[in-house]
Amino acid sequence: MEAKFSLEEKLTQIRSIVDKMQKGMSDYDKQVELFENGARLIQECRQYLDQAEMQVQQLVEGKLRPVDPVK
Amino acid sequence: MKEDSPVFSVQALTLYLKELIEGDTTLQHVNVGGEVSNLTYHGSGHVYFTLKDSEAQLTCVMFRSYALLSPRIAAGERIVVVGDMSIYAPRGNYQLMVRQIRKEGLGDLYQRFLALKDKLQREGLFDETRKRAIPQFPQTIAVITSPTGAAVRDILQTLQRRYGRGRVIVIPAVVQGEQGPSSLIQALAAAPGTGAEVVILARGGGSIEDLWNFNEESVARAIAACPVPVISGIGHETDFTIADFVADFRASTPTAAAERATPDIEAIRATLNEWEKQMQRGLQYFIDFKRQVLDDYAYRLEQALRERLRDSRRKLDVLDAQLRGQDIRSLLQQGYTLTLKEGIIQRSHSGIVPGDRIETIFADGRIASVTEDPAENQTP
Repeated sequence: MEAKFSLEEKLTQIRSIVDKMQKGMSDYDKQVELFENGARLIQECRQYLDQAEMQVQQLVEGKLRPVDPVK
Repeated sequence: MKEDSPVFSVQALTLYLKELIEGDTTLQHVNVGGEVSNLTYHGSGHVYFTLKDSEAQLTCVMFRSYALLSPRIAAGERIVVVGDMSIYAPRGNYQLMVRQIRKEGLGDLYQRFLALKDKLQREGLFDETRKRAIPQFPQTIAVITSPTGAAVRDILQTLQRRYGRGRVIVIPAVVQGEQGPSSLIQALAAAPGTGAEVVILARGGGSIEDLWNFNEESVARAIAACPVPVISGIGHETDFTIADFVADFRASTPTAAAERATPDIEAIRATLNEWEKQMQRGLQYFIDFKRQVLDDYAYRLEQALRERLRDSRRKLDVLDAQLRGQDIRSLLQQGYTLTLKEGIIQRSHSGIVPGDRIETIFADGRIASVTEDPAENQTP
């Protein structure tokens, strides 16, 4: 479903944006662009975190079978 | 006192006893079990202690060469020692010269554990450089444990609570008894095929015998050979197994292993919130900073304009004055006149004597006249 989404990667990107925003003092457009990118990435991460669901399976005789959700 | 008996010196008697004891095969290479007390690891490398039980105690000495090969003991520990009885003449003490120490209860198992640990360590199986990184956000986690124990429940609950995403694949294994090792090895071999990025190898608490499968060499080698990083969570905090040493990360319990395998989503949310605030502050700060710069520019511009205005006004005043001074026509129109003598403007009466012919200029024309006595009219 969301196999392409890499939370790790996004978090790294956001962190670098936060760092840049705290350092950069030159260009207003650039600053706004960073902010918008960062806000978008944060939103994406939150959506990802909200919609996720854990899937539990058990390997039985070489085959994967679903397992009841954890109580 | 028997008059006819020989008199021994102390030394001679002691030597006699020493020979008696050391010649008795029952007292040589004897196993003695008891509790350790008065323990001293001496700087020389020799170890001195007393073995005791409720009824008696025995002084023990273990020489450095033997101590080096023995497990370290602690006061209060129950151990079995192997040694030779002897007498220490200078003190008149009988003592056991210990050659070997075994931890009682663990007995052979413990010896095997130590031997295997030593062997695998020498092979480099425990080296830090062998340890692989545990992925931060695993999509698929394999859990090798008994499918019915408390461990699997603890792990699944912890994964759900902290992470709550991805695939978790339980690979059932026998974690106790004779079938354990082959079952664990099979499970470890199956894990990579499930797409798992990390393996949790776990078992709940139990006695040292219960945990023994995790001290088997074949299991240790299967962990080392597993292409996916392995986190071990076996028994309780105080339990260390060979599997723990070989694993890429040793967690103290099954729950701790599940925690190590996953990031805490709530912590990530908190981090995202913090970053969002930092970005907002960053932008606000930027705007405030730029506004300040702008304010500064505006002020300087205004100052510069004011200065130029003042400057212009000053110049204007000067020009005005100059202009005014030279505008003879306006003066003549106000009623002032110019006096000329021989065509030259006269600024003083002193250059004019009675009878001089002068010219007076009005705004609208000029007249010529002849002066009379100037003395009568010296001031204007």
